[in-house]
Amino acid sequence: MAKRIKIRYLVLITILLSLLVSCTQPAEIISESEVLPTEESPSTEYKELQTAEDTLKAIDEALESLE
Amino acid sequence: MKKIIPILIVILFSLSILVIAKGGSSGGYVKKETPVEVARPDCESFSLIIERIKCRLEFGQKYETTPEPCRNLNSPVNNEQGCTKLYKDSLPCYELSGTNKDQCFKNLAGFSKTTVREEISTPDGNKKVRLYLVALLYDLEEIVEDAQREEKMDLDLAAELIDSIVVVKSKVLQNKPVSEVRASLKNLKDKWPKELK
Repeated sequence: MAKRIKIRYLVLITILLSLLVSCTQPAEIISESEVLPTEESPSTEYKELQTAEDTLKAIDEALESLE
Repeated sequence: MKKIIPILIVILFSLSILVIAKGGSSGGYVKKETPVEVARPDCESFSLIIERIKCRLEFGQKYETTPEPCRNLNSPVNNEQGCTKLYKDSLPCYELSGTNKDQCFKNLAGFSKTTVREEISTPDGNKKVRLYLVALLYDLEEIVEDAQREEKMDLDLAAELIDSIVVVKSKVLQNKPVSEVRASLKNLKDKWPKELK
C-alpha cells in the first residue's frame, strides 16, 4: 500500500516537473522559428550582432544611410 | 504527503527566482540588487553624467530613473517619455544574439524592411533608423558593462566609454546632423580598447 502511494507521488512530481519545464520553453521556440531562413524572409538580411566589432559596423552602416 | 508538499514548494520557488530584471549604467531600470546594502550612495545626487555612470557601475542602481540620453529630450526623433519606453521595450532584445538581436532592434524601431538602406526611404525612415542606432549603441554599453563586471576592464575606463556612448546616443536622439554624430562616434572609437572585440 505504502509503495503504491510512493509511486503515485513520484508520477505526480514527474508530471508537475515536466509541465513546469514545458511552460518555460514556448517563448524561445517561437523566437527561433521566427528567424529560421525561409524563402519569404531570408535571415541573411539581418546583421550578425555577436561582437562589439559587429555592432560598430552596423552603426557605421546606419549612419551612412542617414547621410 | 506531508513530506512531498514542502519539496514541491521548494522546487516551484527555485524555478520562479530565475527571472532577472535588466537595466543599464546610463540609467533606466534597476538591473540587479546588490547582495548587501552597504552605505549605497544615491547615484542621482552626482551632478556630472560620468560620476552617475561610475556610481551605477560600482554600486548598482537604487531605483528606476530616466535613462541619461532621454533626459529633457524633445526632438522630432523622440521625447523623454517615448525614449524611456524605448529603453524598457528594448530590454528583451539584449537577451538575444546574432541576427535575432538585429531583427529585434529593427522591429523595436518600427522597421517595415529588413535593411537600413531600404528603410531610410520609407516614411519616417530617418526617425526609425535613428531609433535603431540608439538600440545598437545601447548594445555597445552592454558589452562595456559585461567587460567591467567580468573585471576585464577597470571602472574608470568603463565609465568613460559609457559616458561617450551616452553623448553619441544623445546626438542621435536630438536629431543632430550625421557629421556631429560621427565626430562623437570617432571619439568613442578612439577610446575603445583593442582587446574588446
